[in-house]
Amino acid sequence: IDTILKSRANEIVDIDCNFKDPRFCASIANEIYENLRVSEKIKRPSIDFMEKIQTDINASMRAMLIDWLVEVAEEYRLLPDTLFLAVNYLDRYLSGKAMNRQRLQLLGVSCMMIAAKYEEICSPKVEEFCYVTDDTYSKEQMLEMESSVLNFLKFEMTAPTTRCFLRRFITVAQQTCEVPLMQLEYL
Amino acid sequence: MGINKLEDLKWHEHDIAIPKLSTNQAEFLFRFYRDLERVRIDTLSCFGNVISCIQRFSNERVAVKILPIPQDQIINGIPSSILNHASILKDLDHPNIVRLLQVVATEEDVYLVFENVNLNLERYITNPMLSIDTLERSVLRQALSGLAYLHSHNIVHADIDPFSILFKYTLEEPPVVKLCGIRAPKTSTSQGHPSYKAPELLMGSTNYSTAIDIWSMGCMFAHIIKRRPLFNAIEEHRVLAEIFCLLGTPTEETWPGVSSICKFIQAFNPPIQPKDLAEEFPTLEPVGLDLLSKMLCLCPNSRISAYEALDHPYLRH
Repeated sequence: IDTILKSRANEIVDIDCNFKDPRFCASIANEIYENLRVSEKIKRPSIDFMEKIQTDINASMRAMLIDWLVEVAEEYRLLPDTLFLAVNYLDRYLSGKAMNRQRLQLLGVSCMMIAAKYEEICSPKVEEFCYVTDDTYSKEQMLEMESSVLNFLKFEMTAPTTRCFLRRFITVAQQTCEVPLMQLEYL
Repeated sequence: MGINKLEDLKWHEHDIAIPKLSTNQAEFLFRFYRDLERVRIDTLSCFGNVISCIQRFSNERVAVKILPIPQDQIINGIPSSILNHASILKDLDHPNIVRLLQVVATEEDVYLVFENVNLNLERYITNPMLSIDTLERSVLRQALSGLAYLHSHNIVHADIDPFSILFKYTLEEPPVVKLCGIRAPKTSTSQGHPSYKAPELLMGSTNYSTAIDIWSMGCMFAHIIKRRPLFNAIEEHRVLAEIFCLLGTPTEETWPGVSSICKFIQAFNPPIQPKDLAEEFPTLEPVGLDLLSKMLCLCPNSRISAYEALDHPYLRH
C-alpha cells in the first residue's frame, strides 16, 4: 500500500505553482478558494422555494425561462458568467418573494440586465432588453423590477457561481488528462 | 452642530461647509437622518458629497455618500459602474475595512451608507496628541490584516495612500484602522498617489497584482516611522528616481525580467547601490527594518505577501 500511495503522491500536481505570472495569485489561491466556498453558502438560493414560497409558478416554467435566458445571452453575446449570475439572482429572489407567471419573464430579463451591468464591460441598454421580450414590458417596468431585485438582494450582487469553481476544477483536470480547455468550457 | 431641518439647510446655503443638495436629496436625507454635517474624507468623497449624520431609527452616526446618477444615464436605471462598485463593497465584512452598511437607490441618486470614521492617516500623523503613543505596530498589523482580507477576496486595492487609511477611535478605545477607497475595476481611473506607487507601476508594467498594495503599505509604514512621506515627488519619474536613490537600481539578478519592463534600466551600469535602511530609520529596531525592507523589495515577485507580513516576528506579538 505504501508504494501505491507514494506513486499516487507523485502524480499529484500542484496547480498553484505559477508564481511567475502575478495575476494567478498563486501564493493566496487557497485563501481565495476558501472565501469563495464561504460566500457560496451565504449567497445560495433555498432548495425548496418552488414548494414553500411560489404558488403561481412551477419548476418547468423556471426551466423554460432559463432556456430563454440562454438564448438572450447568445443574442447579445453576453459572457457565460453573466448568465450564471442572472440565474443566481433569479433563484435568490424567488427564494423570498412569490411571483406570478405574467411577471416571471420580466423578473428573468431584469436579473439578466443586472448581471450584465455587474459583469460585462459594455452592457446592453434597457431598450435592448425590452426588445427581446417583444416589448411585452415597458422600460419603466424593467427599471422598477431592477430596483426591486437590487433592494431585495440588498445590493449583494457579488456571488460565486458554478463557473467560478468549474474554472478551477478544469485546471485541476487538465493536469492529468490532456483535454483542451475549450472543450471542457462547454460542458 | 449639525443641521436638523430642511429649513435650516436653506438658511445655511451660502456656507461652503454645507453640501449643496438637490431638493430630492435633502428630502431623502432629512427623512432618515438628523444632525447633518459635511465631512471631508477625501477618498470616500471621490465621486460626490459625503455627509456625516445620525440615523434617526438607530441613533447611530454614519457617513452617507451620495452618488448622483448622470442625467443621460437615468433612462438605463442604475449605472453599471455604481452597481458594480456598491456590490463589491457590500461583500466585504472585516473589522479593518470601512463597512458599507446599506445601499439605497432612488430614481436620481444612489446613497451609500458607511460606518462613520474619524480621520485619515495624514491627520493622524500630524496630530501630536493622537500619535503620542507609539502605535506603529498596531496600525501596520491592522492595515495589513484588512489588506490580506481584500487579497483573499481576489481584490487588489491599487489605490493605497495616506487618505485611504482611516481611523475610528473613541476616548476609551485605541484607534481601529479602516481601509477605504476600494474602487471597482469599472470606476478605477487613477492608481493612487504617485509617491505610494509601486516601482513596477511607475515603470508602466500592466502585469501587476497584489504586490503593488504591499509596496504602498511599506511606504505607509515608513511614513508613520518618519512622520513624513518616504518619497515626496509628485511626478512619476521623479518618484522612481527617489526610489532608486534609496533602494538602488534593480538588475536582472535582483529582479528577473526587469529589463523587458523598463528599457533604460540597463543604462545604470554599474547599478546604484542601495542605502543602509538602518541609517535612514534610526528609531526603528532591526526586526522592523527587516519587515520594511521585505515590503519595499523592488522585485514584485520576491516582495512579501500580506499573510507572510502578518506572520513576521515584528508583528507577531
